[in-house]
Amino acid sequence: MQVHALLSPELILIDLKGKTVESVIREISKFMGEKRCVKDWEKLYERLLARESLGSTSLPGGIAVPHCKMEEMKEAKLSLAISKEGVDFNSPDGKLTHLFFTAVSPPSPPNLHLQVLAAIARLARKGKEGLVDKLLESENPKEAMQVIENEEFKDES
Amino acid sequence: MIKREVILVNRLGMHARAATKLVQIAQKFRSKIIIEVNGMEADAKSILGLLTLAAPVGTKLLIKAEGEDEEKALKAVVALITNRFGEGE
Repeated sequence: MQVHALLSPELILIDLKGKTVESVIREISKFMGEKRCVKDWEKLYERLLARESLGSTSLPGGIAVPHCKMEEMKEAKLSLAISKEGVDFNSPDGKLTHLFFTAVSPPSPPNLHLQVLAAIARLARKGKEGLVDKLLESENPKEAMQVIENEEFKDES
Repeated sequence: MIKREVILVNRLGMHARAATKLVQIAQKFRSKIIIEVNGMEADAKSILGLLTLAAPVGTKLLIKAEGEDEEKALKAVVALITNRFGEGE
C-alpha cells in the first residue's frame, strides 16, 4: 500500500490554521466530514482527540499521524493537512509538526490500519527532511499530491 | 550478538502506541536492537522503522541485540512484547 493511492488532491488541506492539538484535530475532522470521509465529523473529532490523549501520534521529523477506527467505515480514509507555521503537537523530538496524515480505518480487517501507518512511515523515511520542506512549498493540493507521488515512485536508496 | 524469537501477542499488533513504547524501552539501552520480521529489519529505536513492519498479532519477531548491555536489552524488549505492551488484550 502507498500513500498516493489513498490520497487525492481534494483530501489535502494546504493551509491548516489550528495552533493547538484540539483546534488542529477539530479542523481536520471538519475537513474530512466535508469531504464525506465520515458521516459525523464530531464523532471523528472525539475519537481522534481521545487517541491523542493516550499519547501523541507525532513521529520525529515534523510529521504526525492522528488516527482512529470507526465502525461505519467501509475502507480506510486518509487526509493530509499542512501547517505552514507548524504546531506544538508534543512530538518526541520536540520539533513543530507540519504534516498531519490523518487515517480513519474500519475495525476490520485489523491489518489494514497497520498497512496505512506503514505506508506513511515508509514515505516519511524515504522523504526525510526534504518531504516536509517540499510539501510546505506546495502552493495547492495538486502540487502537494505531485510531491508525494514523486517521493513514492522514487527508487529505494 | 544475542537473539530470541517471540510472537506478537497483543491484539492490535505493532500499532503506533505499541511501537512508541518499544522505542522508549529500547532507547534506555546502549546496545543496537533489531527487530526482524520475514527478513525485513527495523531498528527498535526508530518508530518509523517499527511501523514499516506493519506486523499484526501472531507475527513471529526475531529480536537481535548487540552491545555491552545486550542481555538486559533483549530481556526488556522481550518482556514488553510478551506482556502485550501493557495492553489489556
